[in-house]
Amino acid sequence: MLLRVENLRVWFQNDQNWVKALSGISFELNQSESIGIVGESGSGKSVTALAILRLLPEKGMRIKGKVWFEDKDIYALSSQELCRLRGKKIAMIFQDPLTALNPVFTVGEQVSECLRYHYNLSKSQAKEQTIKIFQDVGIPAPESRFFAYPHQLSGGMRQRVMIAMALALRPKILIADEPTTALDVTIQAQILKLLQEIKDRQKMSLVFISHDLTVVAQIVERVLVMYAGAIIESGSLKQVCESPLHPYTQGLLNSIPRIEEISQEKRRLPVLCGERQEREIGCPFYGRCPKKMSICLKERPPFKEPISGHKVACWLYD
Amino acid sequence: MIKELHLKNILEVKNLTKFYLVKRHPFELKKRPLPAVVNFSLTLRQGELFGLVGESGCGKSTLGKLILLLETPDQGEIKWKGQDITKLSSRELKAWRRRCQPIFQDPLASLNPRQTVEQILEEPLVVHNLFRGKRLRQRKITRILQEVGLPAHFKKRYPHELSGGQRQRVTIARALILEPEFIVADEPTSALDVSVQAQIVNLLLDIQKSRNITYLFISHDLSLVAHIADRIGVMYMGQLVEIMARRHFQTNHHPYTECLLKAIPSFGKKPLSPVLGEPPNPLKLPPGCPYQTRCPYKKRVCSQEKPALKQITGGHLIACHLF
Repeated sequence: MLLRVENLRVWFQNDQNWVKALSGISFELNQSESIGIVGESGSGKSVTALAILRLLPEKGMRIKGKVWFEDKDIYALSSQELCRLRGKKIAMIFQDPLTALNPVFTVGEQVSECLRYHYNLSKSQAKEQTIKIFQDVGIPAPESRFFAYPHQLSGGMRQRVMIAMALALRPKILIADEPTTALDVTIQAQILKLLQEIKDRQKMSLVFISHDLTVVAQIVERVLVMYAGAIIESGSLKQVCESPLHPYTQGLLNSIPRIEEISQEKRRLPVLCGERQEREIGCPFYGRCPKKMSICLKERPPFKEPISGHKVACWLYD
Repeated sequence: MIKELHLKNILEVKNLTKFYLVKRHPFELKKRPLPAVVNFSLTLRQGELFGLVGESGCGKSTLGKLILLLETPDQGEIKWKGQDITKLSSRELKAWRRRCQPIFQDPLASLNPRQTVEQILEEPLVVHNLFRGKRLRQRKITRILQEVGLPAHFKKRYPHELSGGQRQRVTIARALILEPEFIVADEPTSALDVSVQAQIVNLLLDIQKSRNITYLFISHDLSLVAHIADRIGVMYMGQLVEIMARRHFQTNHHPYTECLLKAIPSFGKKPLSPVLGEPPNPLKLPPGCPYQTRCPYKKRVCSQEKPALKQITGGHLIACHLF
């Protein structure tokens, strides 16, 4: 077991109120396993990722639960230990590379900085290493790109630089938070392929976060579906995509326009009605659920395992 | 489905060209022309939904702005029912703007944060002097909100109090309130979640049916466009490389369209097929076909001659030397 998240709960302060962002997230990640976290905006996917690396702001935030990395509680580490963990053991790629990169340093300097910091390499050694990593992530002409500033690169190249930076220290876990959302489909396909290759080569574990189930399906083995700050379904890629149990996952899968299903006749897309509402008691999906029952209003469904390896939080399977 | 032959041409774009002047670095004295839209010709028929697809930077949004006359074209003409709208006087233009309305990508950016939904929807009526009198306007606003699926009490809300999908419904209501004949929708769903995207797209389709509105639907998402469009145009480097009706979707395509189709992620399609390289710098396009730098089927003729749009079968046009 590489990473274990146990009943993680997060609240944020909004004026005088505490708003619940995560309500009890638990999952495990094994060596060289890849999991995908899927959900709509505001479902808590990014908060989960940030909470794993202890990157959430300390002010105006309350957190409960545990995050274990190789028997170490991340929230009990000293700041020095935390620095050694971040980047070296668990690295992260963010959605928008232009905001994640520093505009006043060249991309080469930014990547070699982490090598020099963690390995005490000299400037020239770090540069040599950086150029090698640039080559690995498919940046053409890496020697000259070393001196390029982020604004001089295209979106795809910037994301490759981010990946290079994350991989520079050969982390055990890579957390990718919507790494392809800001990119074109053609570039997205290239980046996904690159991540797949690196993952296989380095035997790295991957947490891939996306709002798009089809993108996640390209790269992961196991999927967690999040809704309103909770995991509502988890299982292998095949189980979740081919025989989803939760009505939300079913609706989500139906509303994706799929290229294989183009018909001669134009038709409306199947729709998940309504939008997310906050509710304290009962199932958070109640308002939009086509299969709602009276119990759903009163009690929150437990996270059960009706099929081996396939868990769901829904009263239909009780 | 309506027979294509009976459809009237409503908008004709002929040889439309737009250059932006850019400097490569801030101290450069000479500005270089960057071709955004080059010799673009397109005919839209009454009541159809034309989907325009392409990567970012291919000029699809510029084309939308040119048709809305938010940018002045450098060359070419845009004919609305036979009349060239680039030569209209400002008064005629105002009348034309009533018939042609935009829906933009980011609803929060295109709605005034200091106006309530009611004020946002009332302003176009006041500007165009329609529905004179507060009560008539109020009734119209209530009706239009109902049509886009929002409750009447949303009138008093501000954009920040609405969710993304609700905001996009307000921009659709704002476009519809003038009863336009033509709507340019520039990536109307790319800022939204998939489940909300389906709702908004269905709303646009319902409106198309009930009001017989012509759409230019600009998007980067080929699978979405293929689901909803009557005809699809694929754009690359400011030019159309393919025009097809939806019945041509399962046939042969331009190499670029093929590459876009391959790049779309879907279930059970692994491993990903490699896609070639990045789009070239539009300032340094080689002569000949604009797609030659990434094309796997490149021949010698491709670097010498620019391929023109050729009819493959009825209504299916491809600009490629392979065909």
